[in-house]
Amino acid sequence: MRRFKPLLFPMIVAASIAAAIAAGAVWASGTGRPTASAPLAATCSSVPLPPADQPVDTNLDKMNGLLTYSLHGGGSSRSVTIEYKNPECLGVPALAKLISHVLATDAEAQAQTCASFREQVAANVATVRGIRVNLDAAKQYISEWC
Amino acid sequence: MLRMRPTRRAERHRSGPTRRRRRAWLRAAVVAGMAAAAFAISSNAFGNNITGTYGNRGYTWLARYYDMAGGLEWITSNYCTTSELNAIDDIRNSTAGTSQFAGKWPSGLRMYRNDCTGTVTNYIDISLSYSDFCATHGCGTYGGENHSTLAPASYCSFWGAPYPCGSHPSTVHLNKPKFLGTSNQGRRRLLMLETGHSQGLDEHCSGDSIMNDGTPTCNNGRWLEVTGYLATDRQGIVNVYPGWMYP
Repeated sequence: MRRFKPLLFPMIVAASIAAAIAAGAVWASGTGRPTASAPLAATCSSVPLPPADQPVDTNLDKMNGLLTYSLHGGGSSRSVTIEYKNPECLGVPALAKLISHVLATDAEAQAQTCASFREQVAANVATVRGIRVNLDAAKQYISEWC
Repeated sequence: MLRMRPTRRAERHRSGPTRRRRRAWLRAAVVAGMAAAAFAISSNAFGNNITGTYGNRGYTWLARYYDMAGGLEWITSNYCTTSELNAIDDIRNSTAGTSQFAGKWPSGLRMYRNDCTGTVTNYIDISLSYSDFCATHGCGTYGGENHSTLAPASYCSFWGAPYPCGSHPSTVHLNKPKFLGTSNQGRRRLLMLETGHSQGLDEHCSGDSIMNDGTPTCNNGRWLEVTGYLATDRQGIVNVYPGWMYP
């Protein structure tokens, strides 16, 4: 065994390089990446702020009170997640403006969604879009969100 | 078994300077590996960037993988344009029958423009909402932005889907004056980018992709050269959706 040591070492080196590159590739491809958003910002006083003159793409998670926004530029994008009901966040004008815009957009869509749920419950529909639907869940949605 | 005499190299292997050289090689290998990984992460060299996986992103219909009647993602628009239909065709044509999807979505990512009312019913996934940004967002030079909302648990239950089940809805705000001031191809590109966001893809500039932004510095300004989903975009879609499907 000892006589193969000189061969073993370069093989270990080559294998570790290959493994590191493969790990980088898998990570970059998104395959092994954790699911959703950027980690929750510890404080709103020092988060990167959404620029006034650039697009801001957002994801709103109302169940957990979280808002994730993306900052684009320099050839890449990064995401920031904040607690949108946190007074500290609402105290930052750029964030308050974004939160207000996102919530207004969502409120409009939600009101229209509520109307369609009410109609379907009233009509006692069995399927929508060719899918069997659960009207008890529709009633629950109405009681929770409408 | 063949016995080998220790070579000079093997002798050297055990000496002090060789051990140092070996450590140096090892350090170099680790550094090179880490650099390669860091490069891949920071430059998104593989391109297929996503903002998250289903059900925190995307749509429940795509997690079922089969061709649904009508289309996988239903759209409402408050200002229906031919460019929207062109973009829908571009997306379908560049995703249908690809081996990259391994049998999922056999007819491609088929979007369906349901109506021109701009009304978000519970069966609408994407709302295309045009306005004059100078009046609604503050004047800027950009064309659009995407606002997605994670669907509540009761919404998922309505469709028989476990929570979380993706977005409902995804509202795309489009800058109407800017939109109307660009070519049909520019409009199609913008719609592909924004609906790409709706599906869980993220912007990047590393190579041709529907997720290049429209700035001159992004991917050498090749914005209009991309006319449909490319391999990196299709791989991004595969990465958003898991390997399982609903019964």
